[in-house]
Amino acid sequence: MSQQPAPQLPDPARTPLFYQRGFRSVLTQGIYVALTAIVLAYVIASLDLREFGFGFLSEPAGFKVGNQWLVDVDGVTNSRITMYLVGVWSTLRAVLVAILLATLVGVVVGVARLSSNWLVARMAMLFVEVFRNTPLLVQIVIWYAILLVGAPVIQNVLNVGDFLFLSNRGIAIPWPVPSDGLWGAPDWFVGIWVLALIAVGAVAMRVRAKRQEHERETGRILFANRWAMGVFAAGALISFLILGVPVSIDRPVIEGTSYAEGMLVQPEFAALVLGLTMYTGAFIAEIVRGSIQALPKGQTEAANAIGLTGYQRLTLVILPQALRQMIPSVTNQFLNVNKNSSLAYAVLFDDLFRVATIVQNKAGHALEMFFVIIITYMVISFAISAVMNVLNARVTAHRI
Amino acid sequence: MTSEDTASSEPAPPKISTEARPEPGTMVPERLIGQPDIITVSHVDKWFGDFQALDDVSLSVKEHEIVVILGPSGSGKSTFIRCLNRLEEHDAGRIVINGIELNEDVRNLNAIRSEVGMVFQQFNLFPHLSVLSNITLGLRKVRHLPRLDAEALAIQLLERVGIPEQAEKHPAQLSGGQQQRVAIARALAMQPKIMLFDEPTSALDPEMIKEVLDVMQELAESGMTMLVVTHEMGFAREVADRLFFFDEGALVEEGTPEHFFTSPREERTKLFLSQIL
Ligand SMILES: Nc1ncnc2c1ncn2[C@@H]1O[C@H](COP(=O)(O)OP(=O)(O)OP(=O)(O)O)[C@@H](O)[C@H]1O
Ligand SMILES: [Mg+2]
Repeated sequence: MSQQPAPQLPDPARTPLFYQRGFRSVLTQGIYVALTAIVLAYVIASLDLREFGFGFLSEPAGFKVGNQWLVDVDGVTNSRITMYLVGVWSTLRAVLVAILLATLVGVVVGVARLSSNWLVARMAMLFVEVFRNTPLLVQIVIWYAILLVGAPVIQNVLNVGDFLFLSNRGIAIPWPVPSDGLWGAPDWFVGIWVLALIAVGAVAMRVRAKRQEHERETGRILFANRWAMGVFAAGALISFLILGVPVSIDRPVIEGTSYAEGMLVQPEFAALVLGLTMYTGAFIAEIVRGSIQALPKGQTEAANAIGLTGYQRLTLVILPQALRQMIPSVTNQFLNVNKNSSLAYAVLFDDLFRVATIVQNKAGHALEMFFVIIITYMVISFAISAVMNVLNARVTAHRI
Repeated sequence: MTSEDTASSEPAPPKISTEARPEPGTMVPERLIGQPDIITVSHVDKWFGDFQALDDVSLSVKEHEIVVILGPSGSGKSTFIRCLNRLEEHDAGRIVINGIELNEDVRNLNAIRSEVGMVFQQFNLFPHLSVLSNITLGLRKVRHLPRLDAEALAIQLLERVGIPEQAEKHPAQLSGGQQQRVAIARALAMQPKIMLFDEPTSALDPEMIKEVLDVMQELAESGMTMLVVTHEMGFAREVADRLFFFDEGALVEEGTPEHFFTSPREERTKLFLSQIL
């Protein structure tokens, strides 16, 4: 084969340094670093850092914190950092519950907005417009007012079958608590049981995988799911009995003018969670609606053509696909729940921000406290993002 | 009425009247004589707002018959076959399929969806499910078959359409022709008596059209009743028992391929065929 001679080119002209891409990038980054350093130096120079330090956090708190759950601190012997962590725990609870409920509300309302039933679709639209277009602070305060003023005083408590009580002190419901059980077990037996449940769950998953594998190999039906559930139920029951029934259900009772036993959902917590749930739920509903509408119409038609019912079409074809689209936007909403939870301040719910403010009032050290607050919120946000990224990676494992 | 208004303001398109049509059966090829009608469509109208998409369509299709539907873009071909499995609801007239009247009765709707399979131009596979799950979904959720039985059937169908090795892949990992064959397998899984195809090869590259047409031809030879909207004239000529020509929502002409390709009667049919042949 004859090769064509390579065409001759004149030597390339050298690009002047200032026009070289590499130099440009070093230059802009250098300018950026220099400017940042100047600003930082100025800020640090103007701060009074003689008192800077976090030692004050380990001193005794000297104040009480409300809305405690699963913890019991009086603030007399406890340090300020302990009280702060109790506040963090309260924030985490509210954020977690609100995220779960908001997702539920969002999916239901979002789907309802697309309902062919006129009334259902209109009600869903009304919900979205009301909760999306009013300030969250106002909503939380209104929920609080409803719960305080609208609910009966404790003397006239609303008693639902000695099971659930509702008054302006909050809602009391039955709750499992550690108990002495058959052989006077200490409280931490519950912990052992929880660990046992996790272990049994892992075993059940193994059984399921093994059976499914066998099914595939032998072609015989081995009821993998039923076996897994059976193994789990049996394991849970046996470990429960061996540990001597370490859990009992605590029913709420009224003692004088306060609740005892059971679990008390206080009005502050309820108002905050309701506000966050409805507000965020309205936004998530719009995300759900948008991602369902963004799906090709052919998906609905194909589902109809093979005879799926409306509910099957939604849960097996539409939502699984819409969910993938939704995750990034929904993650933003979850991060907003975290940040918006600081509005707890308005209803005197002792979240991390409110406790931090109390610490700062007592001990000064505003700079350090702001630092701690910001870091805490950022850590929670990063945790939420991390979980959602894992979820996103899992559902988008297959390109669609 | 709007229909009268439009009819009087524009020159009415020439229509073949039901009376002028040949006796039922005379146009039917020999191999189908004596077969019962499986689809009967009588005076069907369909409106989108004040646009009439189907205009007094009447026809019948015999069991095991292969029908190809032709017509210019916007003539109502898709609308017509979508009415046959009630993806669209007709506004007037009657459609009876294998004895089931297409009407408001939801029991009939469920029944019809299992009698009639459909293959779409854009495949419409479920992208989040594997090929196997695409096929087993209806079997498991509508037919309530155990998973293993459903999977065995799905593998059989994938063998029939020539791609058993693709079972574990997701639709996005397949070529267009393979996707369309999966879509055919998915429709066949429900064991329909009738298969509808809406331009099944129009979204495919030329080299993939044949693999889909081959599957359709095999299906036709197996005795399936098929209604196919297509511009593949080779398929129409070789496989179809009868051709229907639609224009402006009306059934303008029907006949055997021989009739169509040698001596079409209507001017509009001639014009259309001269454009696409
Ligand atoms: N959902 C709808 N809403 C309003 N008009 C519609 C709708 N679906 C179809 N049409 C109209 O009805 C007419 C017939 O449409 P149809 O899709 O049945 O045509 P077609 O013969 O399949 O054409 P093509 O060859 O382009 O697929 C067209 O004018 C179209 O614009
Ligand atoms: Mg069409």
